[in-house]
Amino acid sequence: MGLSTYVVKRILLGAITVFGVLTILFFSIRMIPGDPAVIALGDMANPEDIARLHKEWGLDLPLHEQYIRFMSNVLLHGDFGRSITNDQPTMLRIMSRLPYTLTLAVLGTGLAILIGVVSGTVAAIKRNSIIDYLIMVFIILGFSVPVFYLGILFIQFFSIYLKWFPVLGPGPNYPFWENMRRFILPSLAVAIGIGAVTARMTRASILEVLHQDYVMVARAKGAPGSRVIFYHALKNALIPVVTIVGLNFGALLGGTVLIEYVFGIPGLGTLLVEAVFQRDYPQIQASVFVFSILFISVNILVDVLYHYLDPRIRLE
Amino acid sequence: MLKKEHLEILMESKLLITGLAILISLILIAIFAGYIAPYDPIAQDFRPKQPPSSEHLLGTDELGRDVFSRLIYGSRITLYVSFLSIGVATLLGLPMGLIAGYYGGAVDKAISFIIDILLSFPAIILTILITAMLGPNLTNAMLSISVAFTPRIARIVRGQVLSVKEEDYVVVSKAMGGKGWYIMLRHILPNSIAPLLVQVTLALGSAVIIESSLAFLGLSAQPPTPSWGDMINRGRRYIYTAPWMLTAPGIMITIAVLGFNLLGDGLRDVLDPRLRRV
Repeated sequence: MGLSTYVVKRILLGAITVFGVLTILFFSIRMIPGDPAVIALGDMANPEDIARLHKEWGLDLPLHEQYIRFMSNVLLHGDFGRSITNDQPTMLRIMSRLPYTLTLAVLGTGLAILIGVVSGTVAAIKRNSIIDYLIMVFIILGFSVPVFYLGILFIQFFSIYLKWFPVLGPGPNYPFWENMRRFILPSLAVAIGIGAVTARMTRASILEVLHQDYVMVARAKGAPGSRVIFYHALKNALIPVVTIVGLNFGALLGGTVLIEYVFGIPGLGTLLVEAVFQRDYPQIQASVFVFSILFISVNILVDVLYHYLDPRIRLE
Repeated sequence: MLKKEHLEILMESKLLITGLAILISLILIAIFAGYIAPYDPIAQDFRPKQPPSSEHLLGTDELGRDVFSRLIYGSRITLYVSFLSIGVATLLGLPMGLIAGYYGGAVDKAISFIIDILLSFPAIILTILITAMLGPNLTNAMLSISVAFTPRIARIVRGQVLSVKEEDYVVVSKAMGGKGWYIMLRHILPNSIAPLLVQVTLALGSAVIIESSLAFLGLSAQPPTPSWGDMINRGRRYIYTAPWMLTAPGIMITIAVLGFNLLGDGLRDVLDPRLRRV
């Protein structure tokens, strides 16, 4: 299968998945025990407001009509309805929050790859040394610490004890560079978990590659050690790293929700958590949808990248 | 299944032994919480926000409750939720994966489609969605974790079945007229169990992280139930004045997850000779 055929096929599959995701989101609001409008507005709400919400959400229609209405609103107009909290379109609110989450996710992924590849490579080269041992401890601890606690630990150590960084993350009132500085701790917290998984993968895959024929040949031909590592070994060892980062991107996105909450970053994750607290159901649906879209897109990207990097699987 | 050589490797695997020791200690703490905890975990009997002392080993919280006692009782929620939710996820995911992998065709397509859709939500976000909709409490948190992990377990089992299905003993059993369910239970399941065991152990660790994250957001067990995630959430508000409120539960969650991860990695080493590190 050619690369472009594969890309088209993968995107089509993604579109079908989006359809399924929307179906689940549609039913999620119907899963609410009791009347969603009453729960959203509280017991003291006046009947007119409740009737208005019923109409707005189409709760009075037969189920299949509700479904068609929901799907066409979302797919044709990108419209999940209005937020209960401030009556703005849910998607508009998301757009103003999304840059924070995207920045956090991109910085987090970048840092995770950097931390993972560097420490994994060092551990593999210095196998069975004290450095290798320390990196292994980092790896095991790295994916055992819950991300929200790690964020709090960072605040305690770097912000409160060392006073290197502010306690709060970025926000709309700071200039660009100040915001970048405020992104450092949250991104690092988001990165550690996947950094650890990546480090383990890199270590294992470099150790394996180092015994492959082509690396042996390069060594035998007298290539210097650094060239063997960086050119021959690392290049091939990175293919599984792409996969592992892709596989764990969902965990990273989930991590941004908690880290945004911990650092008070006004991103999509905080929006979701606020919506949950306020029982703002349309906002919950829209936010979860955008998270899924991000996740699905990255998965497609990773699959295509993998396809491109490893010509062997193209033959299948 | 387990042979003598396995037991030898078992004893040699430091990871596995450490993980097992951590988990057994936690289980004992949970069972004997009533004997270990010096005070009632819910009673607001003391001066609030006292720093650690010989009377209150880990200090008291903002409502005047003994942090150490809450920490001890908190182990119950953590273990209860992780074992029950992953147990349910395994009970659901195992047959799904078996049937999809064994029968293939349209059945496989349908099951795989459901799995793919559920896996398009990051796990924690799916659990937030479900608890938000059903209402935040312990039961719904557990349910949401089961829903998030069922497709993960089903997918692992399915992959395992696909790799075992073409083995000679399965083909022979089929040729001799063995029924589908018989072949699945007699031949395919026992030969798929090892990788599943590893993944289930690791899933237990992930469940601990997700439950504590939900509790941290106030979406799991409701107050005054002592839970580690909730203790961190409370402690966070007094991070300057009473940091001891969150440190101990943070460390305990990490240790619990570490226990499951070490056990999972150790089991992988023991059960999968190809991956055994020399």
